[in-house]
Amino acid sequence: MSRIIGIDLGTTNSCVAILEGGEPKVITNRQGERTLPSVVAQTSEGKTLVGTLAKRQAVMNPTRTIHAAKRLMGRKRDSQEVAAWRRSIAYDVVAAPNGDAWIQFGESTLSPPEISAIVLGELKAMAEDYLGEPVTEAVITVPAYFDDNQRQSTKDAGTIAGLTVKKILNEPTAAALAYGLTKDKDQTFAVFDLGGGTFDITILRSVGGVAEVLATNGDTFLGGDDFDFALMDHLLDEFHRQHNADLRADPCALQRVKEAAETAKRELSTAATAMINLPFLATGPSGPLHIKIEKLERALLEKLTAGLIERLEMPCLVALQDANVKASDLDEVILVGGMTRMPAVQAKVQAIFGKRPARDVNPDEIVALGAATQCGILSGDVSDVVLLDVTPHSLGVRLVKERMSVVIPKNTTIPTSERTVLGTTRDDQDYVTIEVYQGEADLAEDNAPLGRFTLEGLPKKKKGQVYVEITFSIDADGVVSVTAKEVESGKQTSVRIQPSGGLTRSEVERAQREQRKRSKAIA
Amino acid sequence: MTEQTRSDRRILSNPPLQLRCPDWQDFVRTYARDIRSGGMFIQTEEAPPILSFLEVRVDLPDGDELMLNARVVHIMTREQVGPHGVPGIGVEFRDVTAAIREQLADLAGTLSADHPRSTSGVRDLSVGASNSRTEAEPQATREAQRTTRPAPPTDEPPHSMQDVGRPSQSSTPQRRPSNPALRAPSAPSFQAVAFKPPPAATGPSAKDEKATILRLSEQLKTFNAQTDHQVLGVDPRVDEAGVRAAFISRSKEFHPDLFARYTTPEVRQLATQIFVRVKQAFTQISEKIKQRDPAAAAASLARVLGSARPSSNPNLSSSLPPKDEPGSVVVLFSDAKRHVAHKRYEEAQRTLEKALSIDPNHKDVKVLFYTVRARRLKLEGDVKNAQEHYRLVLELDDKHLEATRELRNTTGTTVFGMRLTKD
Repeated sequence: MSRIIGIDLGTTNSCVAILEGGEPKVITNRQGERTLPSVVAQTSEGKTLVGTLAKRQAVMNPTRTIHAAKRLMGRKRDSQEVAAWRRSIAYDVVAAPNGDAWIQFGESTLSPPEISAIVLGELKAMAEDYLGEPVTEAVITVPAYFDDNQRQSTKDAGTIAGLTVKKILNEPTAAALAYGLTKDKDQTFAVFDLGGGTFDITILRSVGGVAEVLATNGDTFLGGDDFDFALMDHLLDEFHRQHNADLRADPCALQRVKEAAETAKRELSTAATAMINLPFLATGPSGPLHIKIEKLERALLEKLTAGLIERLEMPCLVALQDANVKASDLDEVILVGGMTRMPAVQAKVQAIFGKRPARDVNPDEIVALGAATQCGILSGDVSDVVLLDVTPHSLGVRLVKERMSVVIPKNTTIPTSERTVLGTTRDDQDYVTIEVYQGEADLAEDNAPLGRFTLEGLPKKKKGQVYVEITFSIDADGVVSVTAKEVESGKQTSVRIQPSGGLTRSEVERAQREQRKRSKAIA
Repeated sequence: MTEQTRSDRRILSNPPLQLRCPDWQDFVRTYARDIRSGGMFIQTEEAPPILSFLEVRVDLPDGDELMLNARVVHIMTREQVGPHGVPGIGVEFRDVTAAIREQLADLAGTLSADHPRSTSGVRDLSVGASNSRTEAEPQATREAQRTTRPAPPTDEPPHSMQDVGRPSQSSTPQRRPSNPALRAPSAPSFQAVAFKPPPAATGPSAKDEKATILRLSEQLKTFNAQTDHQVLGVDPRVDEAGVRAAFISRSKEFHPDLFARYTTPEVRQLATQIFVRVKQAFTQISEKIKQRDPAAAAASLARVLGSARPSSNPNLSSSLPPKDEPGSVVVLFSDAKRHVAHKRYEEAQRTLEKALSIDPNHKDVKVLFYTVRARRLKLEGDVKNAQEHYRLVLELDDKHLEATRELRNTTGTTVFGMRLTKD
């Protein structure tokens, strides 16, 4: 058994950590970088680039530079989320035969797990480089709100990269684990995670070394990108006002302004002013036009993003309410995600929870460190600590009138298993088809479809006289499985499950082979 | 390793451009006018492609070098500028963070104090052999004289340095500045990492696995045969804290994560089954305790009523008023119950509709809503539709007395609805 590595597979950046001498430790790459941009690109010569190298050439090669593939994981191409996301990216998202969102990558189309596998492959190589031995097992973190399809896709990505995924761990839980769960002290935490694209708030309690997620909430359309866009819009408006030239039609100028806004935003987290210099943005009647701002005040950024910061409050209050915890009961508020470095965000956190957030954690690394700690629990190196996670979505079946009947409600501790009994509704009905969904909407089709299965060979009787008992299980990774039996005879009914998306076993194996070829090309 | 990394970087970069600063004033000037303002114009006949990356290497007078990442953002070709113009490229410096800028400014300040400007006052700009050009405009000299304060950036396009050719890597000795911030900002920094062999990996032996499987399946059999209280090993009069403590201690024995090091999947499956049984016992006992204690039951109700909508709809959550305030789900629900008690069904339905607009997934509100609808339909004589509504109630709460009674009276059987699809 070789070493298990802990991976934070992020939307914008990824990080890998291991447990060394009982302490989790982030692994740096050869460039000394502690996080790897989750960006994959193909050059015009057909060479695959990962990380910083891929990110740097994004402006020159926008259609072949894939970033934030995580947003497409386990999603349908025609879903609302993907439609919204496609408007802000340069690469092409195509529909796989089963409707999944796949990515046009140079000449070939790749599934999001295959893109993520390239990032995972690089992280694996970093770990192998450091450890000096092959690595085959990993714990990978996912956002708490990820549904079964998205978790399954993340597992597939690991498999394609040559990693056995020992556990899929929720990011906020990982953060709490890294922050320190000790069996001597009972604590209640809030994990406040403001990442590149999403905002998550999780309330956990740890008692005697067992961490229990009490409630989770968030906003899937609020993240660091929105802060960049707010500043970028301001810069573009100012430029328009001063030079009467609109940069919005020029993708190259736009990208440069976006990058500058992101950089300035980051600088303003530590400095009171930032400088923005964008020479030669456009050509005016009297020569080249520039953006030159000597002192961009932090107060301006805060004014521009006040609306975004306001939106952080409500999910926090709802999560506290769901958890039945008062803000004053919290022992610590843990910050995750680079965006939480912004002083205005920290001030908001303090206003919401009435206490200063924990200072001694690195918001970019804490999730990976938690994943490494979980590796220790799995391998037995860390004892006396266990995580009791919850399922973030309700699991149910579609019933008459298209409505969703919940079998396992959200925030149920996992692993869990629930049985439900259903009766036939027609005479001589010898099979039923059941569709399984995950989500909170009343109408089944507004939720994420997990798949459908058919029970066959039921005894032919009058309607309502044949009952089928279906057992829904969610394992400790949040992955769903279903079994069924006919009640009267007690015999297991044959179940054919047709997942509504994701990769088949043969597709995963094919991708695995291609990945091996590709990684040789990268090396 | 350094060489390899550098070649990696060059995949994207053009060969580095070398800028030579023969004396410190020159560096300070370059810094003040060009680096600090984020970009500069470099004279060259051979322009790399627009938006491509390159490294600009600034050779400092003491032999140190400063590597800066830059991107070509503007090109003036020979054709564009005519025979007397100056062809070249506008570059934008990248990855120059505030910290690095600050340190550069410090260095520029200190340097100009340490190295008084050359007495001659004439710029001695030594350039590479290939395309030497004199660039001693009076303005440059003026700037050189006020070197302690970096010049404020001007609106004119910066241009002061020249391309002095593209040196091969080997031709220049690689001496790095001692100040780490002065290295190329994103240049590789290497740490000597002591290789540490991993602890001898010891997975459980096959014999161990078998024994564990045996132990766990025995345990599962026992738990399945036991009462909830026996499973957790608690007294029937246990309180909430007690049952939770028992659950936690069982979790530490049987949580499937604790069995991940076993290679047989059966071990983890058995642990999962045991854990599910333990959790079931915990849930059942907790429910009983809550029912027993009216205060706890009220708190639990309040929590259920206060609990809001899923995270999938952020807009909805922002319209959620704090619980117990007028207009909250809790208050609306209790108002509606009062209306129902007085058989004011119309008002009750309106109030419940309001509650559902705040929290559409609230089970208790939904149950009451469908019940009220069903009663109204029944009063109106629409039995078929009323039954349909009672079925909805049963789906949410299969022990609902009124709905069960109503459906049994009319059809004699409880019907579970389900959608059938013909494949």
